Amino acid sequence: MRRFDILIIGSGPAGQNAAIQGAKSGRSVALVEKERNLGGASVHHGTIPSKTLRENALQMQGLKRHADTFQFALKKDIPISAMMKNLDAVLKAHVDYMTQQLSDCGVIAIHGRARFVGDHRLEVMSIDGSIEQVEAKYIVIATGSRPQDPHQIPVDHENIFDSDSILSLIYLPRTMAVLGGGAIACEYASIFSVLGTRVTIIDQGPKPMDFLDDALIDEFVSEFEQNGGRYLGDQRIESVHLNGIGHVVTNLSSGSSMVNEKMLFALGRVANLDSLSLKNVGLEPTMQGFLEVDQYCRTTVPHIYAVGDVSGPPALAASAMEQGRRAVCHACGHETSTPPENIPIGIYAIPELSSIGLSEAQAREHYGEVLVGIALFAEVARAQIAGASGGFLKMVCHPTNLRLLGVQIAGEGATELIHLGEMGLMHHSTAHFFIEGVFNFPTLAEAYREAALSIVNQAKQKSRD
Amino acid sequence: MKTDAVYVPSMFLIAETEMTIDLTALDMIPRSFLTTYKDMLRKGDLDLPLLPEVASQILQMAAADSGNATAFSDLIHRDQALAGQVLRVANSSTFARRGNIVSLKQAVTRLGLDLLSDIAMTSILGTSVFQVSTFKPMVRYTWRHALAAGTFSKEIARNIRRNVESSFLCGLLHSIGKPLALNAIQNLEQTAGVNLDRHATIALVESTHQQAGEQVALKWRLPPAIRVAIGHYKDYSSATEFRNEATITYLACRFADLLLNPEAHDEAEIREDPVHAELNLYPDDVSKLLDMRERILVVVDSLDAGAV
Repeated sequence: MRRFDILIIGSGPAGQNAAIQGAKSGRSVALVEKERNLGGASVHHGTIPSKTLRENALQMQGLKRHADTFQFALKKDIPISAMMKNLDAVLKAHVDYMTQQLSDCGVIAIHGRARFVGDHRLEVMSIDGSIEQVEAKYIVIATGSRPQDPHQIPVDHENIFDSDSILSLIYLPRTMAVLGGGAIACEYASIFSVLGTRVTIIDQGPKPMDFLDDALIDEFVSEFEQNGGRYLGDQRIESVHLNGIGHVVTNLSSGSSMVNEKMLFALGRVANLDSLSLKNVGLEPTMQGFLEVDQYCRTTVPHIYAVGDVSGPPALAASAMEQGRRAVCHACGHETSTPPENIPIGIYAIPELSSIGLSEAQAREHYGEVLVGIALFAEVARAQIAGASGGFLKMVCHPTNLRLLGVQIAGEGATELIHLGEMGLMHHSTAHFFIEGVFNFPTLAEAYREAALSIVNQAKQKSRD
Repeated sequence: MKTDAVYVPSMFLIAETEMTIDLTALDMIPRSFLTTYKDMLRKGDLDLPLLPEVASQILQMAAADSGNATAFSDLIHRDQALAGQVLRVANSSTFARRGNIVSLKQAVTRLGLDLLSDIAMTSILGTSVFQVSTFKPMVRYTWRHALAAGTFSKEIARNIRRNVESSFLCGLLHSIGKPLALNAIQNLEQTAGVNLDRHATIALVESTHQQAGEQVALKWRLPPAIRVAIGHYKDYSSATEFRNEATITYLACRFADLLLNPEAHDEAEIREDPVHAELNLYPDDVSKLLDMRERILVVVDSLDAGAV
């Protein structure tokens, strides 16, 4: 039987970072992955494929915008496979790099499905059905999540897809219903809408992505609708079925009904815990289906850690990576920093959205009449040059000391730009920090200065009043 | 673990139990016959006949004038030749402006059922109906096997989150070269006044059907994945593009063999095929797929409704 210091189950962002941290700490590390390639759902079904499609959708949008200027026309019904042509190369490069990096660190990769058979012992079934038992001093569960399988909606991956299967589409449907108003639903809905599909988002809430600042939500809905999409809020699904020719009929509790060529079901994900035989080590998921962990990502069984989506929200790749590192640092007895107070949120919809710290509403709740500065990209030279003049940067600051409380950005580059705000928050900067700093010209980052200037001016005005 | 396998179909052997595929029978074929036949293959100048019962069902639907969209959609999803004809016309220059059609459902949506019904009618008028008397068991077996392979392909694709519609078409049309080749041989026999030995005909179909299928797929502008599945379903590792489609078709064919002729195939050997590792199917995944046999047999048997 093979024995390791640390055994990690799952090779997504959390598992990879845990494995590398363990190996760099001089421990023997094994990484068990049930799929053929390392990377997890994030690499193979989610983050990378959807961003590839998004990038190509944006390029197509740009080409359409310039079709008159350069006198060309795009073909109708461009197959999705053409849009994803570079995906295989992107994935291969990423997987090769990851595999090499883990191998260079001395991490042993095991292809198979793992389940607990003892406190420190796991049984791994390989693809041919053979069984191997392995032992480890510490075990990290990083098995990620999968789309929820709703009982009332017949997800068949042919007409009704989930977020893991939607990119298996090979042609663009004319119409699509998207169930759910979360980040994944909105990302795909906006991408397909730009590609030319008539998309309807159906959700229970009055607005999509209600965890975001209202201004970001409004900007998303506005651009989504400009691109031909429709948001149908405050709706409940009565039933979903296929008609005789395989189109999806959705009956709503309001009494209305709609027929779409395809449907995307994107209402939540569940942690991949059911095949781990957790009972054999005395672990039980919470009511929400996650594993409860402490600040070091340790479960109620001290030598077993849970990181990434299996430990619940925020279910972001960035926080999963940080959790993987933190868990293994703790297992190795290294000093571990406290979890970061602020984690940036990036939503790769069209428009791109990003947020860190408090939204305007949250800041008002905590600090009263906060100061809000908004810089429209339409007023920033770089955005005008790039033809990306939609969007804005919104800065929220403390009413008296002008300390930065949060940043919200909509528009191209939002997920990159947010990091400047993150640095500001980490260092408890005030609006003055963004005015005194020297920015390259022309850049989108100048929007920080514009928003900060607005805040400082408001503060001056307030003091005069 | 074994290396990539090469699929050796035994459908002719099974369909007509007294027959074996004897490639030495090819030596009995007159050289001039072979030359003319190979020329036809090279040019892709082949006709895809419909099964008599399918032609009859289309005519009945047209005569009923009730526009039974569901039944018609169902029929084009069950019949290899009709599916091929629909895709051929949908991708012809007449309809090219509507974009490439890569699935039957897409064809239904883009072209509409009325137009597809017209296409089916045209395909009856412009296409011969199979003269199945001599090779009836073989032809029937090929049709049933194609539908079984298409349906298994769907389920495999669903399991591994690959495109279900495309996989189904690859499975359904992987052996489309067989009726093409058989029909061409029979026609050539008539025009050349030659009467080939049955063993020779079967050997010729078996040894040339992939070439026939690929040529027609190219000429009819069928989706490239189908052409790859036709050409590489016996040896998926040789596919340089659309390898997943070729691999799924290979496995679906093995399952279809087992479904239609359980006595002639070793289930344990199929379960150990290295193709499962290629598709990341664990033993319990394979069991789940094989558990669908009964349901898929019902689908295949439905093809026989109204059979000759």
